[in-house]
Amino acid sequence: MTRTPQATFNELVYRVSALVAGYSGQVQRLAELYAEKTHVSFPMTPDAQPLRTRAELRAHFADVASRLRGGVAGMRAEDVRIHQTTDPEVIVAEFRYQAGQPEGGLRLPNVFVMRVRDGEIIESRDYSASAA
Amino acid sequence: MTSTIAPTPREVSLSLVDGVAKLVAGDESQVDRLAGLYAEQTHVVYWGAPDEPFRSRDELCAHFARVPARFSAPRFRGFRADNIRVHETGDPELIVAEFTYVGDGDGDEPPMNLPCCFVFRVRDGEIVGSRDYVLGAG
Repeated sequence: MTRTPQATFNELVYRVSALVAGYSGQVQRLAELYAEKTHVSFPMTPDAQPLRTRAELRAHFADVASRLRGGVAGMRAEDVRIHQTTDPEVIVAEFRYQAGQPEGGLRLPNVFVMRVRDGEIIESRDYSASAA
Repeated sequence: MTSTIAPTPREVSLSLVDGVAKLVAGDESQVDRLAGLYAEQTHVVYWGAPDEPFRSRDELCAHFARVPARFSAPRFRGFRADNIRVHETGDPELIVAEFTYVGDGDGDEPPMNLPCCFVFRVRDGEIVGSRDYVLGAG
């Protein structure tokens, strides 16, 4: 039984939260959520190039881990709304990364449109307010 | 039930996306038409705008009426929606539209390029809720 798109998304945000909290061992586990050939783009981040391979994802997550050395404790995905589309491979996930208190803490709204095949992400458009 | 067939969520979402582009491009006749796509009581949240949501057709009408003046800069000329992808979901009322608003630019101003992802709930042909993920463009 392969991992469903929803389970893949849930594992992604769980592991990203662990990564930014300082668990750099998540880099490899995160990269393994993506297919060898994939296409991950960040439409709202100017000049961000798409990531096209698992190796590029691994480098991306390693870069996140090193930039956040020291870690953001307690970051978590909140208000998660996952919409299964009529295409069984595609989900739309609305959520917010939140750290600290609801008022005054870190709040990063996101929408990811993900295509998952055989339990691996083969395409994702990550609309993220972190560009703002 | 009315005797006319209500437009589908897909039709309503595309009508909204297209009408906003025309409004930004300067077509003020879109104000009433756009407001009419929403239910009398609705709930519209813009990402990046921590303000209170729009809760009624009247509030949206007032909002749309302010748009042409806010977006009169040359970079909004020829404003239109490009690269539209509509996703129907397991919930027949809920529809997601990904698209990019683009403008032609003019002289020193670069062309506008504004990726968007709107999540709509459409009931009986009217938008009863939406979360509009778009970075501020004003």
